Amino acid sequence: MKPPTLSAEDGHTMKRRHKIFLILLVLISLGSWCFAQGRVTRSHTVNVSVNTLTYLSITGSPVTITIDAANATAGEDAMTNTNSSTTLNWATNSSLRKVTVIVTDAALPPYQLSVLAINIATLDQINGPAIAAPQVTLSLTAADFLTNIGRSMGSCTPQYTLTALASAGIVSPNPTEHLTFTIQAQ
Amino acid sequence: MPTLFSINYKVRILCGVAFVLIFSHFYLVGQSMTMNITTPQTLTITTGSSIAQPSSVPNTTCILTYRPPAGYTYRITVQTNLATPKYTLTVTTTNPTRGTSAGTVSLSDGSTAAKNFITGITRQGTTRFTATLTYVASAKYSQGNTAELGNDSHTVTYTFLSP
Repeated sequence: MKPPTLSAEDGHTMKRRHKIFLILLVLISLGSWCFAQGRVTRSHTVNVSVNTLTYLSITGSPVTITIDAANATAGEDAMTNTNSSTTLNWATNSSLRKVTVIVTDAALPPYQLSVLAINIATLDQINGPAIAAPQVTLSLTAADFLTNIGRSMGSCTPQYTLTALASAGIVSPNPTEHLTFTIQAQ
Repeated sequence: MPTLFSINYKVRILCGVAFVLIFSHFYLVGQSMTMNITTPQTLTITTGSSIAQPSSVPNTTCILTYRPPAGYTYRITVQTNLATPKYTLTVTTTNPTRGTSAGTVSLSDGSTAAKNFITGITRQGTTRFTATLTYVASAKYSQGNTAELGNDSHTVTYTFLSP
């Protein structure tokens, strides 16, 4: 069988195709070479997690509040004295917390002790600011002391007010009252 | 009949160039940087106090190994894919055996662009160089916690390139 032959025009077409193919090959090779020269990348995964962190501390305890003659007024039965010597510090990365306070003794002493949060200061407050609850008369039931604490760290001064009645006489020996502050979900 | 062997010399030169480029490609890839970076354990922030922000957590378990091709001065960049991180993450290397550390690089500033990590890297024979990666995670209380907000997962990419 006679092999097929190519015309001159077919030959030119084939040459042109060869050239195009080779030019493409050079371009692809050049790109590949530039890539090899240019960059190599490697990746890995780094995860960051943060535990739930909540802290509460009090500095300056124990507190001693004494009522003496300077706190008495002629003609009045109630005598009061205050103390603002302690600092309560909190830190939490959770949203919407509050601080409660409770007397943890078996019974209340024969006088009235109340507390109010003053001088509230916060850092990096988110979802705040913290709000002082109304003055709390301390009891065996937990009561709010600070509310609306967002993700923050901060401090306040518990201002204690001791009220005793002159008619109740002298309290002896000096009673001790144990208070517990708790930070918890609001 | 025209065949590949009958085409003119220009085409033959193109064939030669293509061969050289393909060969040099594989040669250069073969001697380019190799990076063996292990994936660190999750960096977990676990402690703080009522009067200080949570303690930062370092991780130095990853080592970057690299070997540059000859002829140029190279650099390594680092970038993260996480555009909106919740917590703070930095990476640094203080002891690259070749090149100069660019110092501490933030991976939590909201940028996903590549940043210089090691610069001025040149080839020295066939030596493979190393750099210890020091990741440091930190978070303020105001940045929340994983239980409420989830964790951050960074895909950190190191790129070895010519300046």
